[in-house]
Amino acid sequence: MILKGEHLFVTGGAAGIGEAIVLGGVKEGAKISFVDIDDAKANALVEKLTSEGHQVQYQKADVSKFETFKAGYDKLVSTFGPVTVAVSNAGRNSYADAVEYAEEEWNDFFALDLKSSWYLAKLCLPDMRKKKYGSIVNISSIHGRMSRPNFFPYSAAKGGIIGLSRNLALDEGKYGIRVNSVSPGTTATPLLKSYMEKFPDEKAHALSVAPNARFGSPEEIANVILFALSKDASFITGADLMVDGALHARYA
Amino acid sequence: MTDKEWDDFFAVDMKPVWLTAKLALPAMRKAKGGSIVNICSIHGRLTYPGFFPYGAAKSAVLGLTRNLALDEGKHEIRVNAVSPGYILTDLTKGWLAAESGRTERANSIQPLGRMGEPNEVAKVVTFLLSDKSTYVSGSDWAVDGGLGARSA
Repeated sequence: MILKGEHLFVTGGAAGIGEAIVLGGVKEGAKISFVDIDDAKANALVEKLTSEGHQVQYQKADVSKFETFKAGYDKLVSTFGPVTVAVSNAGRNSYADAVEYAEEEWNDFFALDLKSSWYLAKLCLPDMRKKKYGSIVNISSIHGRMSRPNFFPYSAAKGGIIGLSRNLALDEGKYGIRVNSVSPGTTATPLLKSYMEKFPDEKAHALSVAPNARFGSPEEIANVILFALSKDASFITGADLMVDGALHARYA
Repeated sequence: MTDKEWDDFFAVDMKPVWLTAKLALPAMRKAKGGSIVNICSIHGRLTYPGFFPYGAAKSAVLGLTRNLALDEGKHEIRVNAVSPGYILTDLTKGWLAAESGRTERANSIQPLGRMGEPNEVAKVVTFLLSDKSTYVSGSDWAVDGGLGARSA
C-alpha cells in the first residue's frame, strides 16, 4: 500500500480517470476527498466505497470558479484534515475553429483545463508547505506535446499544464513538495467515447496507429498517477510522465 | 577524440542497449509479453559543458527506446527509458570529488535541494518493469529531482 496515511484530493473524481484514481487510491491505503459536478455518480461512488469500509468523501464544486472550488475544498479539509497528495484531473476536450471561437468560450475552456490546476495548487500548497511534504500530479495529455487536427485549443491548455508543473516543481522543491504531470494517450474514458461519437472515423484510425493495438484503461493511467504521488517516486519532480502505449514515439 | 575512442565509448554507452534487446526479445516475443527499461540520463535531453559525446550516446538511447517500443508493441513488449539526474552512485561521487566546488554547485542547482539515491531510481525502474505500468511504453521518465525542468 503505497499511499498509506495520505489524504488524497482529486478533482473530477466521479468518472473516467478520476474515478480510477479514487478506486485505486483506497486500495493503496489513502483516505480520499474529491470534487465533481455530477452529484449522482459521485454519491454512488462514495456510498459504494464507504460500505466497503473506506474513508471517502465528496463535495460538489465547479473547479473552474475559485470561490466554489474553495468552498468545496474547505469543507472536505475540515473533516479529513490537510491534503497531503493531490491530483488535478478535471477537464474536457475542445474542438473549436480559431475564427469562430468566442472569447467567452475560450475563457471558460481555459478556466477548466488549465486555470483549475493553479487553483488546486493555490488551495493545497499552504498546508503542504507547513508540513514540508506533499506531491501534486496535474493531468496533461499527449496533446501537451503533439496534437491531432480539430483539437484547437486543447493542445495549448495541456501544454500549459506541463509548463505550470515545471514552474511549481522548481519553486516548491525547497518545501519538499513534488509536482509532476502525467500525460495519457488514447484512454477508454467517457471523454474518449464522446470524441469518437463526434468523429466516427477516428476510432479505427486510433486503433491502427496504437503500437500495441489497443487503448489504455483508466486503471492503467491511475496506477501511474498513484505511483507518482507516492514516496516510491521521491526523486521525480518537474517531470512529464507519458502513459500512452508508445503513441508519442511515432508521428502520423 | 580519436576514432577508436569514439567507437569504444559508444560500444559501452549505447550498443549494449541494443545487445540487451537482441538477447532478451526472442523469449519475450515467444511469451507474448515483456518489459525492458533502458537507463538513460538527463544528458539524453539536456547536457553540460565538457561532456562530449555523452549527450549523443544518451540521446541515442532514447531514439532506440522509441524504435523498439513501436516495433515490439505488437508482441505486448514494453520498452521505456529512465533518465536519472544527479544520483549519488560511485560514478557520480568520483566525478564530484575530482574537482573542488563540484558538490556545492551540484547541490545548489537541485530543485529538491539534494541529489538522489540509487534506490530512488531503482524504485522507478521496478515500477516500469512491473504489471502496474502496462500502458507505459516508448516513454522517457526523468528521475532527476526536477533538474531537467530548469535552465542554467
